[in-house]
Amino acid sequence: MTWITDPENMIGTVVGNTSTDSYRFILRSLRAKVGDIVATLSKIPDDSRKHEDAIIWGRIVSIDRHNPFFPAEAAQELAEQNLELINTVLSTSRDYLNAEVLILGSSGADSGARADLSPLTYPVQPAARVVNPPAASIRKLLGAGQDNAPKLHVGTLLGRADVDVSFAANKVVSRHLAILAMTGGGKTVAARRIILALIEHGYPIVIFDPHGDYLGLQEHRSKLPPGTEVKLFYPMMKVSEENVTIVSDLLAKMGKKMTEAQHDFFNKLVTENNVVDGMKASDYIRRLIEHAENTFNKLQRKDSEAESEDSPKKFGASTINAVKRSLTFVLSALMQMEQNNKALVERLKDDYVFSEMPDPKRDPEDIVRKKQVSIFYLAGYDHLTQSTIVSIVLDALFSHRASLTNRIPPFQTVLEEAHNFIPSRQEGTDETPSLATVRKVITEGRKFGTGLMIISQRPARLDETILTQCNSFLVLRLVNPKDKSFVRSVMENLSESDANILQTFGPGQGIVSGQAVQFPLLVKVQHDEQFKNSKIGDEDFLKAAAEWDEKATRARNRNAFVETEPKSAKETASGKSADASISGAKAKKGNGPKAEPAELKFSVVSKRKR
Amino acid sequence: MEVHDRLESKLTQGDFLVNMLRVARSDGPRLEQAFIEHVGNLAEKLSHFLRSNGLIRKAEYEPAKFWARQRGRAFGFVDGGVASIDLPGASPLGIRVGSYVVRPGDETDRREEFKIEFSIVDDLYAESPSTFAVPDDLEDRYGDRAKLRDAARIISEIAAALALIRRRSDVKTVLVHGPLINPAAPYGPPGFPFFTADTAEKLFGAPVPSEKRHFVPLYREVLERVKACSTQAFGVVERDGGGRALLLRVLEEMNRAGDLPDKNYAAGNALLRKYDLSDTQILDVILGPGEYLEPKVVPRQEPSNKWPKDWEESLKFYPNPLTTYLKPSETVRPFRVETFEGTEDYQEAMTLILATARLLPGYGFPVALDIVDKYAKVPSWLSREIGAGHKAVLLRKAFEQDDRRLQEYAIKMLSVSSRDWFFRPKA
Repeated sequence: MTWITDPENMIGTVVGNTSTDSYRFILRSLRAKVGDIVATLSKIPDDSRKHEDAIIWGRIVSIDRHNPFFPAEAAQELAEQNLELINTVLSTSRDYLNAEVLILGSSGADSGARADLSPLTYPVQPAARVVNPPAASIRKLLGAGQDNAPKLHVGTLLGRADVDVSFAANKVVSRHLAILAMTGGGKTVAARRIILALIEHGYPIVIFDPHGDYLGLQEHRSKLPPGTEVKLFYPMMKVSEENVTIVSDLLAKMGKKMTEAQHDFFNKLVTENNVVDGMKASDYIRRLIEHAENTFNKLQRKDSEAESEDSPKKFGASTINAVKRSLTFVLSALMQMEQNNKALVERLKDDYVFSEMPDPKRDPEDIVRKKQVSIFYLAGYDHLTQSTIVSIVLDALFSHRASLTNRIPPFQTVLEEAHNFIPSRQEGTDETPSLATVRKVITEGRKFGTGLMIISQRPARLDETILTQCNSFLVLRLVNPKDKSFVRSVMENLSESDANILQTFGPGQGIVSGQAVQFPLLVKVQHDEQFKNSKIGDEDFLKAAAEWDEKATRARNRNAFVETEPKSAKETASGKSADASISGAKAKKGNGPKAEPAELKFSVVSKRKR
Repeated sequence: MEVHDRLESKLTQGDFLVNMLRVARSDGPRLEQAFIEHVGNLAEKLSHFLRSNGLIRKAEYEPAKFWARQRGRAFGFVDGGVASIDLPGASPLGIRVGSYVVRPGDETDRREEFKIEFSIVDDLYAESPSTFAVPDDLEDRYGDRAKLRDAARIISEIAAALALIRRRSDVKTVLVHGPLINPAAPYGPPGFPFFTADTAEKLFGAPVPSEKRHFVPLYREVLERVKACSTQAFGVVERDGGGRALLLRVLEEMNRAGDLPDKNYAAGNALLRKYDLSDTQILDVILGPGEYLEPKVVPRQEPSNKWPKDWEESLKFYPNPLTTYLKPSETVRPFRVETFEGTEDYQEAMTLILATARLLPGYGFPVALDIVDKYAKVPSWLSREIGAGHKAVLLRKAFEQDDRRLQEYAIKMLSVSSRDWFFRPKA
């Protein structure tokens, strides 16, 4: 007698109509739950008109519970009379449990060590016995056909801690994975688990981390496998002879598209300003702006004098100003970034070792290297800057892989808060240069070993094209109906009942489906608490507010104000326009003796006229 | 609520309406108009008569106190289910009787026990297994299959109650769904087969001598055994079977005791006959919530002139049920309750029946009997499947023959229940 025929393992009986996709069975009380893998024995005909026993594997997707012996009328009387059911003759023990099973496939009844799944081609036999398979059999099933393939250990089957669940590593790193869950659903825990599993394989990883969720990897790097390096980068744009195009890239990615004339003028600026290797992009842009101003001034002078024949007058004032404005915009973003970097490094210097971001075009090896995890910490930067950094880095790394330069090995990119980097069209994609980059990486990446792991709490706000390119999904708790229906629309094999249970998952519980696993599974993700970030995390805002020293804050702000802008000047400035208009009006009427505000107004007007 | 008010509220109910129309047809328009008035008067008179003679009792409904008092006591409920399988050329019998024992207030796993006490599955005319003995000459077999099935069902229900009482000595009260004591005479005509030794033993719980394997003596024996037990046994009848057995019995007893003059007795009898209302219908108007009629012994085996000669002695000593009607609440009709004569703690048992019936406030019937009914019932899908399976076997056997006519006959026999244009002779 094998486990499939052992009466001890029986948990129910198939009832009603069956098909090759699903069946229902009456479940014995407390013998199985939603998500459990069950099996039943059935005969399947083969080509030679014979039939043989096959094990039909399935997953319980729903269980209806009904107590036919407890009429609603009785409940009414119990409530009315304030009676406890247990004290009456009513029955509570005869629940009727009707479970729905989604068929996963069939395997040979005597398949020995292997349990390869084939599609079911003949319906399950009504009245067949349904069996709860032992852990060893499920393990065999889950690992079928990939015994020697590298795996990423993720956790266990939900409700069956004795059955490990692993992803096929190659499918994750080449075919992309999406981890979707609402806040608190455990997506960071899940992503960290997969990252740790990849680290065990020494696989290079690049993480874009907008909240510092993965800083714990550096904090606890001593617990990682020997030889693993965790590098923490803050963004920094530098120029060199090799990547002088970075400025034009920045202009383009930050939405400052130039006309042909502007482009020519910009190229003229770049040609006339030599790059010092390793120079900050902000410094270089400052020089370009200065140069542009000079050019503009020259142009003004020439305007005022008679035109000389040798002045080419190739670029007009508006062209120069437009380029200057674009450069100033990029410069201000970069300066903001640098200021942020300074504050960040200052704040976290005791806990973490930050390095300046290497130039991804020139030094990709510093970012992608065997046994190295590179974390780009993007907290505090505005959306455009974050998106630009992701775009520039990924673009450069992908180019290196795609051009087959052999400079960097295949790597896995982790994109946290992905809805910010790959938003759907409805969300507005103008200021998101990373969208196009990620689209390119995800559609062509599988050929070049640039896998993506997309993590988001708002699936409905993600770009559908990108999400549909993900071949595997790990979906944890999701409550928002839009998110759920969106997930259903992009996940081919997520049944309606599966979608319905998404909202019932606890932290770390979810459903995994796609090429990373044999068939959709409910999992409990392993929580690697030891890698949790202890410095940045859930802050106690109530405590912080309670302990807030308001006086000190006010004093500090007052000082800051005086330092940056003299109080008296600002006060004058803020009061003057109003005063000017009023007094100007008065002056017109001939009542105002004060000439100064009128002059000021005049000067503003005259400047405009000029 | 007054009798007239109750009557007004019942008028929309089907059977009252039917009775009114029936009376109207026979007595003309005058009586049609006066129906309500006359029936109202009858009910008023009866109500006054019953109440003034102390023949109406009341079971108190104080559920919190009552159920607290029952903590730890065990109550049993029994009901049978019959599979409805209709097959040509065969008389399948599928009966199962289930029991439900519950101990209110018990919070352990042993609070409830569901058990199929009996199940009889066979063909009435099969060699084996068989419920009834098949005569040597098949021509002599008893023709009324429905009676055979009824006999098997009636005896198996009370036999299940006996089995339960024997098995669970802690059970204080057993309620059986249906009459506690049924008329036995219809199952005693000449030729009515005896039970097989196996069936009789199964029903009685011990070997039964051959002469007592007949329904009439065996049923009585089982009833006597149940009566002799310390456990109270009640039959609760859900449906109104018609007739005025109890009210007539009340009048008769009063008359016999000299409390009701012959003239008045005759007038009362005539009134009841005239309006052709059943006990349930009249008492529905008369009784208030929780009230029941003083229980009376109603002879169940009457009339004796129809007793089969072979079983006269046995029928003479059949126990008769102590019968009453209990009205659980204002909105539901009373139901019949039967027990054995001499049952102790009658009032407490009626309170139990009322309390369990009030747990189904809309239907007004002991909820635990509803539970055991659902448990024991043979679901229609099962009956259907059995029928379909049986037909398939017969059909396959027919097709194994080369005789085309036999095959067509099998198809006709199995697939059509009546004449069908489809099977008209072809040109």
